[in-house]
Amino acid sequence: MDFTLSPEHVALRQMIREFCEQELAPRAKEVDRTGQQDPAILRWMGELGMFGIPFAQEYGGAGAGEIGYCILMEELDKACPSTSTIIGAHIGIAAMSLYLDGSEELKHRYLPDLCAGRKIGAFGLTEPGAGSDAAGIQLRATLEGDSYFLDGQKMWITNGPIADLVMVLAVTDPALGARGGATCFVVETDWPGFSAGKPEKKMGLHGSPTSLLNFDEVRVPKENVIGQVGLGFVTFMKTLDIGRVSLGAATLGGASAALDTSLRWVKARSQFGRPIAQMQSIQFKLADMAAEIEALRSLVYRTAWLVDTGRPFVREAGMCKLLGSETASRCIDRALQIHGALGLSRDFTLEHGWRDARIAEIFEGTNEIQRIVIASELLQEIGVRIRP
Amino acid sequence: MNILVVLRAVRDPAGFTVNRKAQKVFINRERFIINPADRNALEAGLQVTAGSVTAVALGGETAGEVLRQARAAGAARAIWVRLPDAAPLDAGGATAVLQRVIGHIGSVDLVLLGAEVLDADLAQVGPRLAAALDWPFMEEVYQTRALPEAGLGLVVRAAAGEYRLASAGGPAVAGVVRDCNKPRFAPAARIITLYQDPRAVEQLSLAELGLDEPQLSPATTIRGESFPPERTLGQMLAGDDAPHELARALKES
Repeated sequence: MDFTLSPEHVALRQMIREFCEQELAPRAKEVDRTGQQDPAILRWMGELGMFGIPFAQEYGGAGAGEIGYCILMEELDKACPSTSTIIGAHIGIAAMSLYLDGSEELKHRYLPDLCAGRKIGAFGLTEPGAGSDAAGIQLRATLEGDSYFLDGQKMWITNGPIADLVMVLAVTDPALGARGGATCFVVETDWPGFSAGKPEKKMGLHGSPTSLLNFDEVRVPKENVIGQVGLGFVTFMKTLDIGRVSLGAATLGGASAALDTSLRWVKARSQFGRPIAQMQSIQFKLADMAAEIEALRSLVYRTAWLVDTGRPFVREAGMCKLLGSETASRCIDRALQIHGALGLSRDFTLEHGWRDARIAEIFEGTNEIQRIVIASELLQEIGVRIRP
Repeated sequence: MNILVVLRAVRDPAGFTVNRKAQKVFINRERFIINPADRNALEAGLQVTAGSVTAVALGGETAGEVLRQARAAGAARAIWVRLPDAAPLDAGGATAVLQRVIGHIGSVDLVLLGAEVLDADLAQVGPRLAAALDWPFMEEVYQTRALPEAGLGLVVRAAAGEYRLASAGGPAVAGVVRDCNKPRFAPAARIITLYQDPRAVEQLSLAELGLDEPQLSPATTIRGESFPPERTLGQMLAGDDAPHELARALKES
């Protein structure tokens, strides 16, 4: 067993970490306060290849695989969770669905721009009436001649207000429903009939814009179908499976940042005449955080390795997201306790870190859904199938 | 225009702590970085769009690593003069090797190196190399520019806040000031490609340069290390009585 990263991944982490520490972390408070990441920063990240880290270089990606992508998400989330969410939705689910099942023509048409950050992607699954019950989607795609006409709404879409391309799941055959009757499309957001709603006012991740998407008879050419007609649900579920790994990596970043911040603080802060690092009550919190983070790190990078080496990973991916989001929330909460009143100050990072972390237990499949995914994989091994 | 940038791998200052009381350096993490001023020298070289940068480093694995980083950042070529980790060169040895490297490359218009080195006082290498080559040495360099017709120009500090554009009129060695520019980030795809390419860094042995180890043995030996005493903070005196208080303090000390 070799648990070391390859030299190229070590060098990649070094570059990304320096970028995050120098360019993203100092602006994270401002991003949270104003609700917007500077477009110039996003362009710069695109030029450095951060919008296409995992994908093959023939499509304009960096060729760093899932491991490289996890490194990116971990470092981004340490510095600025809003930015990591923009990238996570863009790479992990939007571009990924195209990369996994798109035709060569479609991939060559859209991926180079997505990888360079010249176009931003969004992934449209959730609807006003379909959340955890993703199979209950209503957005309708009707074939007329050589085009589909899309009509309906998507909701809570990350990157919605800033997306140039939306990968969207629509019903092409209502009789069959999601299983066999749903199809995945690439939609350019400047096509007539498409509009994005106002950014939602959320508890956290203020710099990651989320909105409703309206499709009013949007004409989409047949060539823009990702994968096969009728099998879009499969593409979307496969995409979400793989997206859970990098989402786990992002939560790992959030949890590690909380521990790093705490380690600096316990050395600097004195009470009862000695640094609080000397207090056992503090030491126990630090030890618990470190142990949970180490377990998460092992799980995330091992799962990324499963993905990169073509092994089955669905069960582990669900665990990355489940364990990761709960670990991050717990660690950030402990860090906040260690920092006392300072932890609540809006001038300090933990306050927005705490708000930003909460959504990870909800989006890209709630943790309840993850438990079902894991249990379903477990029970399948003993011949029991869970009914949806 | 061929620019040679000399890179030195040094211990990351964040990876060790100096304990003055124990008169000891504690290594907390084995991590090496490109000497910060050398990184600025590399950036100054890469900013010359009409130039081609070759990076060179002398030493063991850490030297090879800093060269891969330089290639990822944009250096067109990297030359690693491989030496055993346990055989540190002094400034004289490094100068002799670099002189041969320049002869090996053939045409070099400018040698850039960081004006200060973190881990050992090898800031002599620049001037000594210039003397050995009989080239001018330029200090306090902030920027390199391609000049129409005149080859390479160097922006040097003439006085506080005053800069001068100077040309050596021929090949030169230049010491680049630390933090005079912001080193670029290497693009992710280039990192992956170059680290996977075994030919990204060319290796040269001392024998290929016509040198052998005994020729390069240090002229000095390190007998021991000690630390200067810690500086204590001064005291601020304020108010009308300050001069008297100061006089009293001086008299008593």
